[in-house]
Amino acid sequence: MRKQANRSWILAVLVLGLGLVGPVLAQDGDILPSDVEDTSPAAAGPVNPVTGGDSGAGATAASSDDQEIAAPAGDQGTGAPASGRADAAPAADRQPRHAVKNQVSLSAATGTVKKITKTMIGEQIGQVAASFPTKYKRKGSFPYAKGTQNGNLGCANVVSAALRAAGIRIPIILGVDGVKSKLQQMGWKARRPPPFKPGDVIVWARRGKHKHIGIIARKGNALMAMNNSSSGRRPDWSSPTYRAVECVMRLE
Amino acid sequence: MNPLRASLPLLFGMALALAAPCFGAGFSLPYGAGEHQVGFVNETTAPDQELLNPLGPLSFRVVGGTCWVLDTVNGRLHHLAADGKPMATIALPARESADWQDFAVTVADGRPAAFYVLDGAEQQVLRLSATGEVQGTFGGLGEEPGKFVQVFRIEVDAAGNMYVADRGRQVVSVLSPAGKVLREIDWEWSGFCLDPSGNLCYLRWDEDAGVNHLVVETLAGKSVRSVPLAIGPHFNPDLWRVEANGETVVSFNLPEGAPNQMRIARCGADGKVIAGCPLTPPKVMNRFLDWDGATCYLGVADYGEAPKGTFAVEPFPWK
Repeated sequence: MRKQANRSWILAVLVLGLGLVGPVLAQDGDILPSDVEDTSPAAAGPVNPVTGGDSGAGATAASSDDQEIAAPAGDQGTGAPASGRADAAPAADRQPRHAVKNQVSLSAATGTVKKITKTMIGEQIGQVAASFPTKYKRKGSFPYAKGTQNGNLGCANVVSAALRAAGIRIPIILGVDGVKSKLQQMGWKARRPPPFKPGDVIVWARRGKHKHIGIIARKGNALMAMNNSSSGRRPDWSSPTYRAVECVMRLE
Repeated sequence: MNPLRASLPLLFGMALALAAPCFGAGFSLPYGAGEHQVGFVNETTAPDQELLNPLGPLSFRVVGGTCWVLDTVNGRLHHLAADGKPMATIALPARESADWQDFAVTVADGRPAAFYVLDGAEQQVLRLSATGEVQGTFGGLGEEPGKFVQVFRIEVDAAGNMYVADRGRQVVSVLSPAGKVLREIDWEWSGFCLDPSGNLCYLRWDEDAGVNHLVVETLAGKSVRSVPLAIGPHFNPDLWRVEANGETVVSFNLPEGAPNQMRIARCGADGKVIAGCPLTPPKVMNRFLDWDGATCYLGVADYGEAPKGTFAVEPFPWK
């Protein structure tokens, strides 16, 4: 009986895991016209730092880098927590039902649930960002939204698309300050680097008429910024210090 | 006025004049599109450009006391004599859009034998004769071996094998003189060089130990040595030079302080730091350091301020 209960639990977790991973994979690179936001978002109120959904007071409270994000509630109608962490967390720290994406990984072999930390989310954002220069290596292959002058002004477009591909529920935003303020609404913090960290959204200071924005990714002990190349009309790599840095936006 | 004090500036000037030959006098070129000028892009040249990144020469080499400057914007190579006077200009091949990132020059009998130039627009290596004719074109855009996504730096060994660092694919590709792929090495965006024996030198980060290792390998990939570099907390290391005695020069960013605060360090064969100092390279410049024998040269420029000032290559006597 006990063995059967364990099997049922593992099966439930597997189903839950597939449900979580599926939308993330399906979303990669998809940019729908209805998702495009041309101006800075004006919506007020706290927003979940990962999903962008309204999360209620306390969900965006500052925490240390490796503090675990409150484990999600089950998304299969069970209402059961996916780990013990949620039981212990104050109600205000719990994520809403929609806040499950990217916060649980599953080992099918052991049936165990591993909690995802904000550092791990940063690494994931960095990894997704790192895939863009090869994925969109051909000039003009990135699906730039209207209003970017065919990619000349595509930096915020590229960054918000990479964040979305990494599971951050953010609309496609075409302005640097729009991305910045949206992330701030979601509880991301503006920090002055160094240090730079993978997943940091780096904002470079105004030069000419515009600021510039990218995402930090790591390889070995090197940190490069994936950002849109206006002349190349594609995402590529730059040193984070190749122009003056205004700040980085960090999930913490 | 004390006559000794009055003569101090004169003495100082004389001392500088005497010391200059020891370090080499340096090289400079004014900004512009004319002969013996280097091109630049900034608010002056592109006042209506929406997104502006100041640009100028991205690379230089000092060879046999003379200096080669890659004039990225104007698409040419300038050659300056040891006394700083312009000697020659070689026009790079005209292309619809070119993005000249870096170059290498090989020398035979004291004269340039060939140039190898990286074009970041076409993701190609161009081998040019000493007078600038195209002798070979290698690479191209792609993710398969021998192709590139974002070419960054190039070195060429005595046999003419080409070593190309690709930021996009994160590899160093080794191509034979005919362009055949000989090897590809996983690369951590951390510079690379060839030592005097022609071995490939690169860095490998040990996450658990928090240490970068200098890795030295033969062309065939046989390990020569691996040494942990005791340069302390850092990020964005850039390996520039490994000497015959095993001494290694690496630049890096500090984890604290201003974002662009860099240091350069010389490590002994055992990996321990034996010299170091702060370093402020020009923003956007790709190859901002080079050596001619034991003399280190640093690119000095501010493309945002051009045409004020000059593009300069100055001795950097940090040791």
